[in-house]
Amino acid sequence: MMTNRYGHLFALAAAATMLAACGGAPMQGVAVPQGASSQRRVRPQHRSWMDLGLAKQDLLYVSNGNSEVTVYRYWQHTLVGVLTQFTQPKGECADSAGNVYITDSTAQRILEFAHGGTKPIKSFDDSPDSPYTCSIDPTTGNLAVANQDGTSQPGSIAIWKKGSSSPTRYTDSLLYYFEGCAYDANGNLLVTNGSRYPYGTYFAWLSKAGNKLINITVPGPDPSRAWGYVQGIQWDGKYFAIDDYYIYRIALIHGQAYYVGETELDAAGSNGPYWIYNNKPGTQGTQVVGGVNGDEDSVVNYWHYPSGGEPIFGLSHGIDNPFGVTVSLKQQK
Amino acid sequence: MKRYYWFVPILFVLCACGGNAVAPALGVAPAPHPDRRSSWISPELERTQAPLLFVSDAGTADVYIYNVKTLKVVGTITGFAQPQGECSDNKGNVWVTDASGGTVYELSHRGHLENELVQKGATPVGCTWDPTTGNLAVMSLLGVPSQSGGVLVFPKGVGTPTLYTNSKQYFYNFGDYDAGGNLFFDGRDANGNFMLSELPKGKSSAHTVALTGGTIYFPGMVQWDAAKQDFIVGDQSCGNLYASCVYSVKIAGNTASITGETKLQNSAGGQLCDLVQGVLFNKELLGSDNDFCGSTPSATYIWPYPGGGAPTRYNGKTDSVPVGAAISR
Repeated sequence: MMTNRYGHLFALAAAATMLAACGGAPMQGVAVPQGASSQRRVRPQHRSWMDLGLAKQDLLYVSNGNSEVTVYRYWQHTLVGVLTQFTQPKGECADSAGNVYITDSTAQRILEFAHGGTKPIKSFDDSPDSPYTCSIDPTTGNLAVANQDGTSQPGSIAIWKKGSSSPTRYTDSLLYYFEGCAYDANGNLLVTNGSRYPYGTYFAWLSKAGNKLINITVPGPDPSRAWGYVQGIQWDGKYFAIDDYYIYRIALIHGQAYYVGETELDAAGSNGPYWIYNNKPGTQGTQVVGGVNGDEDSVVNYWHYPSGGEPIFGLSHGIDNPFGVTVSLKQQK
Repeated sequence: MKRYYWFVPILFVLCACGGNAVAPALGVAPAPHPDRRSSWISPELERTQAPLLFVSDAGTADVYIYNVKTLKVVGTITGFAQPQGECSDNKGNVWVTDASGGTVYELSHRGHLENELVQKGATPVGCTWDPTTGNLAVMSLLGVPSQSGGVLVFPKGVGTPTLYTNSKQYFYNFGDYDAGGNLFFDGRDANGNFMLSELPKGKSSAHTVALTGGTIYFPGMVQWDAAKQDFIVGDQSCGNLYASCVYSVKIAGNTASITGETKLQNSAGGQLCDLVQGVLFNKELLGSDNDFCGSTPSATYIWPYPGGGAPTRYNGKTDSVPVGAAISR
């Protein structure tokens, strides 16, 4: 297990970070030489920091077990920032405007950051629930959060209408808690209780026009297959993608789920939900990213999607027991 | 390292022996659906020659058998994985498609399993029987992996099927033969737009039929109305809403014209949420509302046709996620 991979710090980066922190100014604006960022080591920061000039970059956000969220240029794989406002960051999601939502389980809140920003632009109070993962309705901008409160109390799906400060909560008699949720392109929400053997994995959906969760059966590639390690659900632009070590694509049609196909991922082993990279709305995503906790090392792997296979890149710099990941797409304006 | 929990299903098929037809699947790990019940049929069903309504329920993975006159449940067939659309033949047998299992089950009037057709990789969701040839056409919503669906035609309802497609169609839902043995079926293109296609009798490929006189947003039932010499075509998103209605559609050449609309109400007087597949029988439309809208419980209804409106009879105590409907005479 990696408890601290940040043994060294380049002097320039450290100096710049400390200088900015001492001044009390927003950390956004702490710049380091671009050429040094790929080798730069980081240590847990007291303040968040972020490189400048990221508006035109796709950014990968990773929730780590050391309570930091590390941020990378998606294609260059270089560390460009660290967010430190969390006690236990878990699942993440992003909207079409590039805003990033990061659940903080222990703090019972969700923080929203602008693309490349270091200070939250909004905090969603989820108490008394513990947020686990999230999804943004592309048709409304509503925020859905899957709450996993352990076995002591039932979880919920909490939905904040865009602009609202308080959520509507949905519970389900079959799903005691919730570990995954995702909206499709039409604003229908698919949810799951995740991987809780021996209780069983269950699914429910909330139609765009609906007012309650409805349990549904989600078939796998074989009718006898039982879901075992569902870590999350994503919308891949065309189908729901259920993350159960491999990725299984499901068409959800008027509340009925149909198996479509699967993507085998070598060197998988996600400890949290994958994220499917998709920079063209209305089409299917082209890559999948997910954290992998190995015996000695932690990485965030990239794979082609939907073809899968061997990882095309393994990101380890600054990664410590990764959980949720998301991609904030570069800004078009 | 694959972290799966697989189990071997034990599917008891009790063919016409003790009344039970298909018994539930058992396993050592959580099953993909909560079905743990056994099949049963009532003595009434054993005695009756009256028409019966078979309704498939994807929520419970069962098929319910209703007395058409009373809408009382007189039997339940269990053991399916994901039962979908249905059709019936001139013997009174009912074919039930099972999407997850890639299977079509043939049930007798009394619910006994007569035959099953397995097509690996298919996603059967609809079917129809051709009275002119005895062939069974099965609509496969999708192909696997991640391919478009098609229509599988089983000669005389047995053996190896022939696959027919319309190259412009991606999803395949429901269909029926007209009096001349031409097959019409609906579905959607790859962008999700409604499509109606025709496989002319004796031809090897299907073509698109242009729809005029209105818009159908999401494919529902397709049934030949012999009395009116037109088709009933359902829309599961009537008016582009979560609502259902059916249309009368007249075919002329490569054009299908909407000539009438039948609005359907639920037990509370509201518009039906989701009629997946209904069936026309004796100037009545029988079918179920999969009410994920939350307005009323899911229920099985009978409406006058073509008048529609309020149901004349309904049973709101049985269904979970009702899908297909067929009449067994």
